[in-house]
This record gives sequence, structure tokens and C-alpha cells, in this order.
Amino acid sequence: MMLALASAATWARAPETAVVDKPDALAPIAKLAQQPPTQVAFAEARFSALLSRPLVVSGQLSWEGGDRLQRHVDSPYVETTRIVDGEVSMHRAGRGTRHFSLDRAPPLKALLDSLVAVLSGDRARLSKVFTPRLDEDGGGQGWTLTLKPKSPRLARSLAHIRLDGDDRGLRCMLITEANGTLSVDLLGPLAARMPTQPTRANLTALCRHAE
Amino acid sequence: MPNSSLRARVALLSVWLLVLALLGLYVMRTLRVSTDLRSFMPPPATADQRLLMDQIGSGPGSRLLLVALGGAQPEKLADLSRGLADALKQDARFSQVVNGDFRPDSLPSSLLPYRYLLSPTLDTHRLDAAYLHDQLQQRLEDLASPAGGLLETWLPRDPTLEVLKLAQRWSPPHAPTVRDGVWIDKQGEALLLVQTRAAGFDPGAQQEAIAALRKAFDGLPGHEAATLTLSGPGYFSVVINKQTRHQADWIGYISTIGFILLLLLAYRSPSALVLGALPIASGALAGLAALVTFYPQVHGITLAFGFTLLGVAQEYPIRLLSHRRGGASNLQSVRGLWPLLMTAIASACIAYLAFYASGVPGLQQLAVFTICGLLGAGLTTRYALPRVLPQRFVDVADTPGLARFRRFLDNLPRPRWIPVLVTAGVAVMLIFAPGTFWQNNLAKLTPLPAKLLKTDARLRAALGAPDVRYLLVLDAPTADGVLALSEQVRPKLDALVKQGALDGVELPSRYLPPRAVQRARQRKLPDHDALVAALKQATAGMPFREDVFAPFVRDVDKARALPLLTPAMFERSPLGQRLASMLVRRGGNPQVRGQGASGTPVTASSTSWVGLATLSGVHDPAALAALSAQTDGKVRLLDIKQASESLVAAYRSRILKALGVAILLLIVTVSVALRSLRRAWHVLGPMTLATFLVLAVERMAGIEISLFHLVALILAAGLGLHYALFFERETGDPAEQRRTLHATVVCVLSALLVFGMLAWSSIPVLRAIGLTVSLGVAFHFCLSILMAPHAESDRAAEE
Repeated sequence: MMLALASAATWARAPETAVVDKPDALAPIAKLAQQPPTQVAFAEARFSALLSRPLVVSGQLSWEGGDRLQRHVDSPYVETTRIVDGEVSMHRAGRGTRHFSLDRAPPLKALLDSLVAVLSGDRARLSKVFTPRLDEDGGGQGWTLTLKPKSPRLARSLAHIRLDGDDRGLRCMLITEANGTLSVDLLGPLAARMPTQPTRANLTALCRHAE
Repeated sequence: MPNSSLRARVALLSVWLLVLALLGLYVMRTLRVSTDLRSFMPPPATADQRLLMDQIGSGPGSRLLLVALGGAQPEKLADLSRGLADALKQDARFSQVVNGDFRPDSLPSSLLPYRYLLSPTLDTHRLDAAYLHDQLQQRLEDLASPAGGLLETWLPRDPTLEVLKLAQRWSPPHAPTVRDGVWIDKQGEALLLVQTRAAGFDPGAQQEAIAALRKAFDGLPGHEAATLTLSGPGYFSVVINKQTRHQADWIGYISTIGFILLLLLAYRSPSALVLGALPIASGALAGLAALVTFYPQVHGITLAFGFTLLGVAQEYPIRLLSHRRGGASNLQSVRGLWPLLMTAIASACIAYLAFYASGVPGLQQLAVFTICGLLGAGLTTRYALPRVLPQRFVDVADTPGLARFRRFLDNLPRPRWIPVLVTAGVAVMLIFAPGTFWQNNLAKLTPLPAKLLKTDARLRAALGAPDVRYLLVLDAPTADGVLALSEQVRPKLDALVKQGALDGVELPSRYLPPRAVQRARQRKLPDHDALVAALKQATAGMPFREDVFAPFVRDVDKARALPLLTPAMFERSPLGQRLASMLVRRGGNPQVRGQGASGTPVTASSTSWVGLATLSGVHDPAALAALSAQTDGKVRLLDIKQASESLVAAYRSRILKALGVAILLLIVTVSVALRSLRRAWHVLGPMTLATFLVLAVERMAGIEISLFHLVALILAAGLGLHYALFFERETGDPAEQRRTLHATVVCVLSALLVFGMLAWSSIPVLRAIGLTVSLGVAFHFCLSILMAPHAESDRAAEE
């Protein structure tokens, strides 16, 4: 699916060592907080059981502050999706605009929750909707934040969200839906490195291992 | 002797009470009170009135309850909204519950292949390679969009998104925004639309439905934190009933206490007071027993009117109590009184026969109740009450001050021109009275609090709920004809919506297209091989897995061979009930009319169908009414308010006709009883003039006359007849004259007490009755004294 954020460029401070299993285990997340508006490039691959190869789109993600996000696709076609206060409007060139309520798409709402929580440094919000877990890479270079939905209702559509980052900021966002569909968003400079034939394996490798 | 007489009194009293108890038991067991306005109204005369009586009370708009849940966080309210909707869907009292929850399964799985016959897609496209390619290209883009997750489950079965198109087509046109999966309005309240099975104007059934709704809400976990707000015609009818009853009860308690004090003061005997209540209780029970014996159902308004009219009977025991003479037994007193009392009772009963002849079921019931009630009260006053009253009493002729009051009244000037003056005054007042004469809008008599109306307007606007006043009526010989007509006028209505004549319309064909349309769509479906080939061509170069669309091909194959969908088959789906309430069979169906409703002549051989389309936000009724001319009257605008007001007017004209006959009967009866036209004039003259004087004064005060005013006028006239009869009586005995005055004063004061209290009510219907009777009693009293013929002869006798 979609959205992920945080300008890697503005994420320049060295992270402190994440201490797992302590009350403030999520402290490093606070370091990702940014001042809106902020923008980042993304490239997304979606793996679905209906498809024999993933769908790839790329464009820009913008956070305008509050619960307002915009996802602008410029390749292979032009499409703009805006989430403003619970209402989603989707405009595709030549197809008009579709509106729907954010609540009709629970995984999308979860994504908004997680992303806005991370970008605004709101760890309480993160813990309200999800059970978060932070894992660090052996080398202390990268980290992975895994978010599992707390409500059974949300869990019926969303398996988990995974955010990968390193000392320069967010690199990837992986959304696994309950039916097994996986969306991988490469963020920032990484967006330019979408493989021509993306697979779950090569994308996971790209997200996990900073060069 | 005193012992045996006491024993006889107690025995008779016991038998009397036993008979009353048995009657009461019989009535309680058999009485079925109907609150459905239809069983009270006269037979409809016009097509609109007939439709109103047949269906509109149970028409779709009037059966809608608007529900708002507030006072908590939206997520909590959304849970409650879902819980309430689930509970109500299980309840047979509700035919539809919508809360904005998007259910792709608004068609049951077995009906899903019908989506190709129901959705308009095939009107403009074919399921060929070009169309499928374009659709699938879009689906790929959809899949890669944030909405992709919504789509995945349905895509293999429905790649052209027909289910989504139907869901959009079937959701209310101006629904509120959906948050947390349910409708939440701008104030953060969760909104629901609930359709009851019961008619909107049946407060009894609505009360049950609303109680069930509240119970369902109270059964939800965490409901304590939230508030439940209701609105809609059904809810209003319940509120009005409750409010009116509450105030009537409250006023009733106070006036009862006053009445008891008055009687104690007048007769200084508690036993007289208690025993004096028995005749009217007997009358009421006799009237009720007669009603339940002859009619399967009694309308609530008939009962209310009946008990009002029965108020006359309270005069009978009062007359007996006041006219007991010192030195004479109760029986001797009553025998002296009876000829006159019998004249009063008989003439009233004969007059009420006119109501029976009116042919209106409500009025017939009223006549049966009142005649039996008056006879019951009169006969028990004559034959039972004197035998149980104590033999010792105070002769009221010696009441202090009474003689002086009598002398004062006798000394009043009685100019012969009084009738002329009153007649002229009445004429002038009636001519110059402001406003319209009749009030046909019964709703005005029971107005709703402004707060409720504001809430209703707000919820109605937020939900885009249909207008309660207007309906579009579609006439056709068959149900399918109605659907075809509906489809035919749709473009015209869409144009009217664009022009701003109305905000929206919900036509029956929105849910089910006519057979011809379904057939045309079915014929456009490709056969199996063509579809498979088209799919193969369409998906060339796309990343869809092979055979991913097999469920789609299966559904199209099925749809091609399906028998066309009929309203009866459609009824199984959640939306079928919605359609059923919009398609009504007329004639040849005894189920359509409720029991006890008036027997409209229906030609059983010819059945026809009526479609009821609900309208919302009607701004230009004239533009909609013009549709009738364009469709040869097959599609017309029904103004429910106008139709119901014309019904009330028809009802009133029946009452007035009955009254005219009643007056003639009264003149004949009184003339025969008094054996003198001149004496009859002295009785009927004051009564008639006083009645018109009340009418004129109320009209001069700007009051518009309703059915309730008319009934109150009839009661007042009944009381006035008594005053005039007794004042007219020549006895030549000053003490007897004082007793007459005493009885009349007690009657007048008690009537003023009971109805004067009602006149202060804040509810117009109670005020209408109270004010009219109070004014009536005062005018009747004054005029019957001033127009009494024999003041001089009395004085002569006294001297």
C-alpha cells in the first residue's frame, strides 16, 4: 500500500543506542520527529495473491501536519491521494476524483496513525493503536520498528506494519495485510533504487542493510 | 323498620356494585382501543384521501424514526450504532435499519449474479475486451492505490465493481459522512435511520416500537455514557400522547379535589358524595359495555369525545340531591323530578341518534357510547340511587343566601329584546371575526415543542431523510408497471432536482428496475466463450494471475440464465423491505385495511398497484405537481397535509349535518314533551343563542374552530338544555324554585371547575374543550335565566 515518510535528509543526528524492554524503549523514535510540512520521495511495490508480479509506483509523500497526508504518484501514471481529517480523496488524471472515508480502509488509517505518530514524535499514540517492538541490528547501524494492531477489528485486515531505519532516518515501510498482501515503500534516496524486478527478498535486503 | 330499610339499602348497594364490577371486568377483558387514526376518520371520498387512509399512515416517510447517539467519543458511538443496528435488525417491529455501515453484502449471496441486471452498467457498455481492458487497467491502478486493500476480496468476482455501484445507488442520496464505519454528523453524533413496521400515526404501535428501540439501546454494553435522541412522526405521536395525557391527568386531579369539596359544601354529606358518583360510573360502564359488544375495536378519540359528552350525566344525581324535599322520601322527590329529567335525557338521546345515522364509524361509536351512557346514568339515578341514599338529609332550599340570590335573579330586568340583541351581536362578531373559521389541521391542536422540531429539522437534513408532507404517487395496473413508470419519469425528476425544485427523490426503480430493463441488460451479457476470450484479450500484458477471474465468469454465466428478478424474490434481501414499502397493491387485498376501518367500497375484481416515491427537500411543489399533466395523471404529487385536512373537513361536514338533524329532532322532542311550541322556544331559544354566542366570542378572539370545539359545544348545549328546562319549569313553589337554582348553581360551578381548569392548559386541544365548555356553561346559565318566561308569575305566587 502506501505512505511512509520522514525526510532522510533531515534525520542527521546520531541515534542513541535503543534500549529494548525498558519503559522508554521507544525513545529513539522520538528522534525521528520533524516539523511539518515535510516531504519525501517514495517507490512502492505491492505484492498481491491476485498478481503474478508486483505493481510498482513512485512519487512523493508529504506530511502537512496534523492528520493530513498527501501521496502523489507521478509514475507510471499521475494520481494524488489526500487524507484530510478522516476523509480520503483520490484523484487520478482523466478519471476524476473519488472520495471515501478513512474508516473504510482500516489499514490505511493504521498507516496514518503510525506515520503521524512517528513524525510528530507521539509515542503515546503509537502505543494506543499498536503493540510496538523495536529491534536493533547487530552493528548498531539500523533498527526495525514492528507495529502489531491492538484491536481485533484492525487485526482482521492488517497483520503488521514494519518501519526500517538507520542513523540517517527512515528507509522503508512494509505493510503486511491480513490476507498476505505486502506493500513495500522505499523512502528517500532509497526510492531511486527500486529494482527493475522487485521481489520480497531483494526489497527486504535493501531495507535492512544500509550500505 | 329502620333496620330492615338499612338492610335493603345495603343489599341493593351491594348488588349495584357487583353489577358494576362485572361490567367493568367484561369491558376490561374485551375492550380493544385502537389508536390508528384511520378507524376514527370518515370514509375517504377522493383518490388521494383513499390513498392516505389506505397507506400513508403506514407510508415509508411516516414510518421512519431518526435516531442520534451522542454524548460520547465517536469511536464509542460507532460501536453503539453498530450494536443497536444489529439488535434492531433481529426485531420484527422494524423493517429497515441503516447506520451507514458499508456492507458489500447488501445483496445476499444467492442474488449476487443479479447485479448485472440491477446495475445500469450494461445500458451503456458491453462486457467486451475493450471495456474489460479499460476496467482492469483501472483496477490495477486501484490495487496500487491506498484503496487497494478494500478491493482485493471482491476483484476476482466483480472486476467491474457492480456491487460498489449498487451500494452507491442504494445508499441515501444525501447521507452524512462515514466515520469509524458508521454515519457521524458534524456534531459528532452517530446517526441511524430506522423504519418501523407500524404506521406512523398509530401511537400505540409506535410506542411499542420505540420502547423496543430504547430497550435494545439499554442492553448495549457501555450505553450509559451515551445519550439516545429520537425524532420522526411516530416518535412525535408518542410524545404528544404522553404530554396531553400527563397534563389532562394533572388537571383532572386538581379539579376532582375541587369537585369533591364543592359537593361536600353543597350537600354536607360524604355518603351523598360517594353515592352520587355511582350513576355516572354506571353510565360510563354501560356505554363501554355496549361499545365492546357491538364493535371489535374502539378508537381512542371516540372514547375521549364520549367521556367528554357523558359529562352531562353528572347533572342527574346533582338534580336528585338538590331536589330532595324536607318531609318527602327520596323516591317521592325523584318522582316529582323525573318527567323533566326524562325529557332532558330522552331528547339528548334522540338527538345523538343523528350521529348514529351519520355513517361515520367514529361518530356511530360515539352515539352508541353516549346514548347508552346517558340512559345508564339516568335510569340508575331514577331507580337505584334514591333507594340507596340515606333518608336523612339537609333540604337545600334552606341554604343560607340562596333565597337572596334567587330574589336578585328574579329582580333582574328581562327585556324582550335580549334575543334580538344577542342574535345581532353574534352576527356582527361572526362577520368581523379575524382569521379563518375552521381549523382543519388537527396537528395544530397538539403542537410540538420547538426544541423537538429543531432536532427533527437538523437530523432530517443531516440524514437526507424524506419529507413527511409530500409523496410522489405512481399508478399502474401491475407492480412491474409501477417500476416501468418509475424508470420512465426518472429523467424528468433528475431534471427537477437539477433545477432545484427538490433535493432528492427515491423511486422504487432505484432498487429494482422493471422487467424490460432487466431483460435488455441480460441480453447484452456475453456467452461463456465470448467472455473468456474477451478476458484473455483484455488482460494481455497485465500482471493478473491466470484464472483469477473465474468467479466473475461463473457469475456472468449464471446471470445470463436467471429468471428476471421480481419484487417478491427481491424481498429476501435486506433492501427488499424498503422496496416492499414503496410498492403497494390496491384492491382485492383485505390485508390492506385494518380491522375496524371504514368499509370503503373497493372493486375487488380490479387490483392495481401504487408506487410511493419519497421526496426530500421539496422547494417547488407546483413544479412536481405539473408532472401529473405530463403523465396523464399516472404520476402525481400527494400533499399529505392537504389530503388529511380535506379528510378533517369532510369529517366536520358530517358532524355538522348530524348536528342539523339533531337540532330538528330536539325541537320535535321538546315540543312534544312540553306540549307547547311557546314553551319549547323558552327552552331551545336560550340554548341555541348561547351556543352561537360561544362560537361568536371564540371566533372574535381569533380562535379557529376545530372538531374538538364542536364536540365541546355539543356538551355545553346538553348542559344548557338542562338549565333552560329546569328554569322554564312552572312549580309555583318558591322553595322548589330555590332547589332548582341550587341544583343549577352546583352544576354550573362543577362544570366551570372541571372545564375552567382545562381552559388554562398549555395544550391547545385541552384548552379548546375547556374554554368552550366554560364559556358555554356561563352563557347558557345567564341566557336561560334572562330568557325565563315566568319570573313575574313566580313573584306573584311568592307575594
